[in-house]
Amino acid sequence: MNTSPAPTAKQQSSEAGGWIEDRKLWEVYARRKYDEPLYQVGTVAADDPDLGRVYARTIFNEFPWIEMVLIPRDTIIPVIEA
Amino acid sequence: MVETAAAAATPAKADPALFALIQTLADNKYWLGRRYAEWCTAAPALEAAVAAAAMAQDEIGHARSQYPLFRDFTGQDVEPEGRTAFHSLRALDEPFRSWSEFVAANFLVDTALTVMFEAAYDSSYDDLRNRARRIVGEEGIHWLHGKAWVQRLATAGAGSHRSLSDSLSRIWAETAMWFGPESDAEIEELRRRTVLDRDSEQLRSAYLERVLPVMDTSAIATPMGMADLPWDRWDGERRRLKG
Repeated sequence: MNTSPAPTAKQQSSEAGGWIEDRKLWEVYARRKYDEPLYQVGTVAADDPDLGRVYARTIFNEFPWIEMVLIPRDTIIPVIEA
Repeated sequence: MVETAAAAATPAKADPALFALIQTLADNKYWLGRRYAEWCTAAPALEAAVAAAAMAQDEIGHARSQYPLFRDFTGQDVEPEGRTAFHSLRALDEPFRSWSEFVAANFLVDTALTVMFEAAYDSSYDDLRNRARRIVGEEGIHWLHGKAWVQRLATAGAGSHRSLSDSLSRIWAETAMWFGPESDAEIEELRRRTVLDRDSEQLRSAYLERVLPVMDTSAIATPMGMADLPWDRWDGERRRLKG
């Protein structure tokens, strides 16, 4: 078995034809109990909604959530702008 | 009656078919986890790096849950670090050279392993059934990751598409062969004993029904038909291609 280190991100990205940057942002909301409301736990960047789901699940896994949803940031309509 | 009860409680040490299945599941999970882990700091986005770390943790955890079962067959504890002849795919022998190779293994190898665990969901071997149910539940997110990245790389430009196609082609045959040739004696025996609920061809069909539609919609040609698989190079004992 070869256990040498993996290539660097720079090496792999050039082989794949360029760096891949996600531009679509998703607000992550979740709750831990049925009697509490969903609240914002963070943001993930993912152009693909399935990847957004994976990233949200893996990044915000600090609690045993009972519900987690993604809301596309660009669908949020400001009422009072900061 | 006493002898029958004892035999049922302890899997026979001389059970090569079942031991072969446990070994290939454990070793492939172990090396898939190791290979995922090598990309925790090299993925093309922070989120992807975190996902790679989480999937690596899952895979190594799945492997760690299998190795204690080796004692039932060998009579002694087995640690992966002490093994010299792994029953894992050649596709996992070397570190992934690119993110597209990571994605290809995530999409093909991880999915093949999941299909096998799904076939053990109602296994007559309690220890495998209990593990299979948990593993199948945790693998949903791995499938989403692999599928979404295949679609992503396939549409990210000609270079990415070519790199992904090459990476999928490199491991395509071996992964499809992992379920064994038609009428594979070990798999057939395990199906007859209801350790698994499918034979080799049914397992391969379930796997292909999952991956081929994603490849089709991503405009990735099937690298090789099932009739052309190189069975003359197949190591049936270790379930991997020969060197």
